[in-house]
Amino acid sequence: MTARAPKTALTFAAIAALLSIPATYAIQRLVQDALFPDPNPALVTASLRIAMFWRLEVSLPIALVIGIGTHAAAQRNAALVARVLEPALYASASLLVLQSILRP
Amino acid sequence: MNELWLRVLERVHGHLGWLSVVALLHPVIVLRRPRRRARLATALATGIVTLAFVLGTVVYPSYRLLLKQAIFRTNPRIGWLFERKEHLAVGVLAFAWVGLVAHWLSFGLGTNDDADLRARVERIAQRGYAVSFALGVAVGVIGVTVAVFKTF
Repeated sequence: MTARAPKTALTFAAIAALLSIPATYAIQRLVQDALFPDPNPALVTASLRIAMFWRLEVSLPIALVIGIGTHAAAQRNAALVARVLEPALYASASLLVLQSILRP
Repeated sequence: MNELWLRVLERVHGHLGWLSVVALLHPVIVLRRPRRRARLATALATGIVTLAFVLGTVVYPSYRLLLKQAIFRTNPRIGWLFERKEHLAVGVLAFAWVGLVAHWLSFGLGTNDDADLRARVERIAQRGYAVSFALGVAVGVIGVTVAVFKTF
């Protein structure tokens, strides 16, 4: 590890935490749709509890945990984490797009 | 919130949304060059995206109460389009912040043996903005489509 290592680990942790938010948001929506499908929106008045907001609220602590895990991993092997982050960006974006198209 | 305020906020949200799409294109282009610094461009683009998103969340509860059911009754395809917009907007915001954080934190890397790591972080910053821009275009087009169909 170099003198830059703490900053490197922090950088990767922040990026990983942010990248996890769209993915966990999409996964929550997919699980919600599979287990508790919405009633027909044309027939019911929208609930005051807004799913988009609570999906984001749930995503934040998960992002924190992923950030902490990534920080620990980057301190051990920063090069490996760096290689994983870019594919993770595409995976997170693809998951969100697929969920939006297939299970809006 | 009365209807006049909703109409004003909705329009400001829409215009800011398209402005943010244009602003996102700037870092997508300039960050293609390695070691390029674009602090102001990234801060402005991400700031405008965040502001547009926050305004959207202010208007969204009223959309659900006043418009959603009516839209689904008359044209469910438009209604589902709006649901897609809501999800994709989360991506626009998150990936813009990925770009901002990666770009700003990349300045602290890049000496000696960290050069490769810095190059990877710079690429993540550019790709983050590229993804955010692409999703932003989709969100903007859907937003206009829904607004043309029904508005406050």
